[in-house]
Amino acid sequence: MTAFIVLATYLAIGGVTAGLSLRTPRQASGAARARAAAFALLLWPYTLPFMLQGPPRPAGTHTDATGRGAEIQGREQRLEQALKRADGAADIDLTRVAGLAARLGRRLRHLDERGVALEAAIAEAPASVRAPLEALHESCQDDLAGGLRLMDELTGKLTLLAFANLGDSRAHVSELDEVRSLLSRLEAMASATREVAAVGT
Amino acid sequence: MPTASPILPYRSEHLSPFLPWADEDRRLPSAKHDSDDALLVQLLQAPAAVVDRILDPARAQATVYSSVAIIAGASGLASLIMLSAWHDPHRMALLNALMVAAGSLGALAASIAPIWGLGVLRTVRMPLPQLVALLTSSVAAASLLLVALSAAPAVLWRLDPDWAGPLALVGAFGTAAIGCAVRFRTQLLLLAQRAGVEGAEASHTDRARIELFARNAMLVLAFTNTLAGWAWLALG
Repeated sequence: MTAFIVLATYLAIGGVTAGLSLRTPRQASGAARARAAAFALLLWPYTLPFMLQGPPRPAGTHTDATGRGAEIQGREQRLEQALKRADGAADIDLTRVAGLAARLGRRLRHLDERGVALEAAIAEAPASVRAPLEALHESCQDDLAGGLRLMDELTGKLTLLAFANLGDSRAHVSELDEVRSLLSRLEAMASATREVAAVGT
Repeated sequence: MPTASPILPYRSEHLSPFLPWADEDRRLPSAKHDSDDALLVQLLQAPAAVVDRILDPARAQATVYSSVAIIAGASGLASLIMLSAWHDPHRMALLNALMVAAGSLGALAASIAPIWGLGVLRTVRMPLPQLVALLTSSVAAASLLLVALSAAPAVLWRLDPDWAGPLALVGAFGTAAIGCAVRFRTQLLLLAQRAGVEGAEASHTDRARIELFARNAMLVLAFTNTLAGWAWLALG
């Protein structure tokens, strides 16, 4: 009897999954749909996670280089929240961190604009000057990606810092050290970008 | 003065090495390069290529389907080879092979949710579809290994049904289980490497958490497999 109940429950969930798989317009042909439904009925634990995931994100949104203003702004907001959260929990100069973050945000925006301008220039440029322009564009994108990564890292570390004093004090000290080394890297990045910008103008 | 709880504004965890930090919808990055080999070949020799398949949203589900078919076929075939030592009637041997195939698929299916839950507890949460693909491909590799090993118990059982046969049987399953664990761990580390910062190794603590998670996951899988085997024994 118990085995029957288990089997009936399994098949009931399988039936719901098969119905769902028939409703989602992923497969065009009828045979493919029937195959997917049969698979979902018998082996739903393996198909349900994929159906719950939703349609895949269009390719290229993750690494799309042009016009990342919204992305930069989102990161800045997140960093701001993390700063607020870490306030009072950490004995580092948070105003300095905020200033540095604002500077980095400006640099990243500048890099982003430059990248877009360079892309437009590459599209119109004659073939002879295209290669150096492309190299410039690539280095610009690398700088931008590196800056965004540093911003993420700082956000993560600051979020962790808000929790660090809840437990082990040694862990707190090591977290603080990590944030300090990250800040020095950020400072180096901001000033390096400024030099490049100065040379470029 | 009321202070905000440090827990409340914490909307999602930032610690899982399988998810990029501060990524809005928390998906793994897509595959880097393709390999043209068939899945059967890649399962045996190229865990990195299998990880590429798992990361590619278009191929992940097909990988799961193929792995499930390989698990069912290979475990059924292994049981047919092993049971040939007992001179079973033909029909019984086929029924047994079907039961073993269904049992191993059921045991794997039962272990998915607990393993995912363990990942959340160990702060190595990974998207469920990728976890399913990772588990099925690891078990498929192990079941192929089991087919290769199953000839030894079949032969040794006929020579010495008291000692060498049973020992070879346990040894074959044990070796396949170890192979599954090694493959699962390798693929987990590769996935963490792909999801992290480009070209960077996973940090020491990340690695430690992944190792712990891999061991826990294999323990769950061993437990559900044992339960499945016991259920078939109880059914006779």
